[in-house]
Amino acid sequence: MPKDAFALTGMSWRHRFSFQRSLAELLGKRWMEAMVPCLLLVSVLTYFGVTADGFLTLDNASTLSQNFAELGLVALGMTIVLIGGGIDLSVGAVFGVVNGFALIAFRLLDWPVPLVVAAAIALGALLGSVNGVLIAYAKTRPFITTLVTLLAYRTVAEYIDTMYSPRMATTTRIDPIWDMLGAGRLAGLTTQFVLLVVVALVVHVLLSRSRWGWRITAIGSSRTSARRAGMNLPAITFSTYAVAGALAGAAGLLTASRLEQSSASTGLGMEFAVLTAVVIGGVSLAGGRGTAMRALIGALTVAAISQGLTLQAQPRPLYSAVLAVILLVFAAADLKWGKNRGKAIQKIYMAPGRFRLRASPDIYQQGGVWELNDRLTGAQAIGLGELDGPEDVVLDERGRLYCGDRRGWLWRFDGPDSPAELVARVGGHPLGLVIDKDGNIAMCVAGMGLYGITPEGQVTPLATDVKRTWYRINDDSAIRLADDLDVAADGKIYFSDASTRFDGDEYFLDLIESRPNGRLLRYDPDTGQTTVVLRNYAFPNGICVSHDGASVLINSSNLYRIDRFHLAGPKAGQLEPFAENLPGIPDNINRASDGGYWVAFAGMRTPVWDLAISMPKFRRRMVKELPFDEWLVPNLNTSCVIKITEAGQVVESLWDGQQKDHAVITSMREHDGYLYLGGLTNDRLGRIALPQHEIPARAGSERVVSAP
Amino acid sequence: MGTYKQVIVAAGVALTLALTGCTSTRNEGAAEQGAATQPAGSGGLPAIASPQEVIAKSLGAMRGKKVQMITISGDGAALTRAWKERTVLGFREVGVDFTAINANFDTQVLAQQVQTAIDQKPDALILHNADLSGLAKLIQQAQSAGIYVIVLNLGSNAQSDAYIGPNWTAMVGKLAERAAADCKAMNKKDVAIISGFASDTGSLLTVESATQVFKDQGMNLVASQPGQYDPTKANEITRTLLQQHPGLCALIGNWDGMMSGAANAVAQAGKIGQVGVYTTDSSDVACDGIAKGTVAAAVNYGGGTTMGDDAVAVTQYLLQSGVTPGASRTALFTPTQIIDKSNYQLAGSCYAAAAQ
Repeated sequence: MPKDAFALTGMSWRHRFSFQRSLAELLGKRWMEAMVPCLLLVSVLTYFGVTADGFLTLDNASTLSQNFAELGLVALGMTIVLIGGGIDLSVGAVFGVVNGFALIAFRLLDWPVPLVVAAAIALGALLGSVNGVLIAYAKTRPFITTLVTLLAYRTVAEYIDTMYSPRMATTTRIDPIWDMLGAGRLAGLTTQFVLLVVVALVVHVLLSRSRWGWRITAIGSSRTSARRAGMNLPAITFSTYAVAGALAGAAGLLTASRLEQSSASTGLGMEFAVLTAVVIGGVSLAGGRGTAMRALIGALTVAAISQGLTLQAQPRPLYSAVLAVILLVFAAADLKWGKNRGKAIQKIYMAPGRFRLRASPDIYQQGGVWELNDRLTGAQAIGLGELDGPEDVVLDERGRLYCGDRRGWLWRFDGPDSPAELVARVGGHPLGLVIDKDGNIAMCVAGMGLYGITPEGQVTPLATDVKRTWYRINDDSAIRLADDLDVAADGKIYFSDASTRFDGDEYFLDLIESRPNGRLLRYDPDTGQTTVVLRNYAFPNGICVSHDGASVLINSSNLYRIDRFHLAGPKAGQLEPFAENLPGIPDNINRASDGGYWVAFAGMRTPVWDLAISMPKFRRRMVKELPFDEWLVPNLNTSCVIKITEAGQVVESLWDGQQKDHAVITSMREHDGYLYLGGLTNDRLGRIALPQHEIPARAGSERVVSAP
Repeated sequence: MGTYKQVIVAAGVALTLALTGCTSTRNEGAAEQGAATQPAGSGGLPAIASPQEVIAKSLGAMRGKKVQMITISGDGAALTRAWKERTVLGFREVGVDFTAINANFDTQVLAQQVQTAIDQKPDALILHNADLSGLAKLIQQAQSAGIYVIVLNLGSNAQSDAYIGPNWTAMVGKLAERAAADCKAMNKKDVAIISGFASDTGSLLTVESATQVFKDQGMNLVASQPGQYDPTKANEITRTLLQQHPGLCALIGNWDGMMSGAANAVAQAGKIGQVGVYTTDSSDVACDGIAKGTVAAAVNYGGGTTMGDDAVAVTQYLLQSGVTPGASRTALFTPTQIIDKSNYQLAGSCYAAAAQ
């Protein structure tokens, strides 16, 4: 169980929850789109279960399943066409024609039933292919084309009715397979329902797992992109109509075997019921969105409404009226949802929280440790003109420098005056770096996770995800903002994942939200496993294993504090304050040669931002109502480096009075009497020589001691 | 994505099974109860009984019984309304729980409604068929489920407990003879048939009978088309026929609601008196036509006047008789009478049913 650090925020347990955050995260879920149809279905079933006497009986379930199956098959076909960006209004007419044809073949022509089945489905596919040829190859508009074929096929159905119905009505033929199709049971379920389930599974697999399905979705989402990706648009579009026709034909066949009647009205207006069904299910009329399961949920809803109203002996026109209202509401909602969902989520995704902070310490005292100085001014520039955003800097045993770059590169310098040498292209912005005893580099890459690099430049991912927290709405398995790391004595790597809600380039959004979204992770190189050791930590940033190796120091950029997480000893697994209420935003932390630690302040606290932190409503309004560039944000351009003792006492601060060359300092590393500076937005690394008294190895001076 | 769907589906299936599992036993119980109170085959009355006893026993056998009427024709049809009016009245009188619904000319809906009705296991079903074979399976299913089935007007291949309606062959034959006679009087020969659906009993027998009569009478049958019991469709057919066959003298069809469309087409073409419209059934639609001269003759076969009462009577008989459903299989024919200018004003010739 990871240790929970929520208490550090100073807020009560109820602040762990946020309705806005849950709503935003729920809206972001793809399955949320299926929730509304599911709720509607449950409501419809509940409503009729309560009000329609006999709705919840086995007999009714069986009748419902038969009607549902026939509607469902057609709805699956319609879904395929709609996902591909088309529409097929002729499905009802195809259904009617095939119904008539199947009866002719069965009763008048005396064909064997398997042949009738094959021929009926083939005829459906053929009728659908006519649509396909016209739309895919002759480039006619789907709506008008299928409207025309609807009328044409309807005429065929009437012709069949006129010419053959009288003879069919007076011919009887009994066939066990035919009866099995129409009135049979398989494992207690109606044949139609079993067939629907089988077909739905096939369609589901095809749509979600096959190249054909993906291409249909691609075409429906964007024809232009699909064409540019080299897809054969006409062939795929054609196939959707052919399949829709075949499915409508299969449904017509089932109806023929069940009712054994051919009528000019068979399938009349079915396209309306089917469209309503798929739109209820959330299949978008605009194309590119929909699943087999959704189509079935919609079809079941429509079938249940039909069945429920029939049971209540309601006048038939009421059914059409109910469907019309539902279709209208859902079509409008589909449009609004599709258009505004992303915007809505964006507006409410950030749910500002609150931290209880103490007033920032006074840093303007004359002669105090915070007094402004120019010790960083005039630092030697390394890699000027080459580097862009070296967040961290690290040196190997040979004194070679390594640093990252926001372009996703890792650089090496053989010495402070050597030219830059590209070690590897990582793909994401390398942040924290560490070198193990073999000279391999481990690094945190924003948006990607923990990566390892050999000196030769071979990149391997070490940790990109952890086990998902089951009760979190947002999937927190991905390591979204790996920030800094250090290697413990046992070889395990401790690293910070600053935010589970915002990606690397949006780190400031997490600062503005001010909720404990981060965590401390541990990578075990022996097992390759990564586990969460500390959760609900507010923006964990710098990570540093203590001099004795018994604990890890963690910088919280958001709570202006440093905590000690004990790895060994009696307090193992406990979290303890190390330095609280700092006047700046602690970024990275590294060991100093004198037994203390260097900490980089990426920026200094400001009274106005401290106030903003205590006013979540203000920040919510700000992010909702103001454009991004007018937001009030934490100060990230007045940097300094401080020295802090093992006891957590700040003993000195190093400033660049000009704030020009090192606008933001996010990291520093001490090596051989020099301090190297890195900055997330800087164009160089900096190097300053440390005074002799700060370098015990050379000067042999005493360790800086301070009261606890 | 996959998991939550499976869960939903599984939950839905489980819920459905659980709910249906609980309630299905209730129906079985009801069926057993019904069997217990149902007198077995005797008709329910003792050989000698006082009038008070007769009332008590017979009504007792019917009270609370469930009867449902399902018609293919919609509430827009006077025939449907008249049936409903009479059956509601009749069944209320004897304490039967009666409901009437219709499929508004949609055969698929009719099948769904009948299937649904059977699922609810009423004691009797009164059906108005759309197709000779369409409800055949369902009628048999109903009977084997212990439900009496009475079929009105349009019969089925599957024999119900009782068919109540006209002898279509004789009735249409009589009407066709009248049309042929009128044509001969005008020295014309071209005649046409507009049937209802292609495959319902009335239409099949209308086409068969009229065709035979016209042939026997030396008429020239120029067209025989189904009008789907739709006045608009009949109107279209008639307009086309009038253009194609200037010598047309008679249009015969098997429902006045539909043939009113044909009559309008004749009137619009200014051919009143030259082309006669002959139809079965005699609601106010037909009689208005007769009064205006757009309809030459109609047939009163009791559809709107007596058939609803007949249905109530036969149902009462079946409910009391104790006959096993599906065992009696009888056809009961109604009287038919030609209505024209000479008699349409007489009482009982025409009927009107209020809109509901």
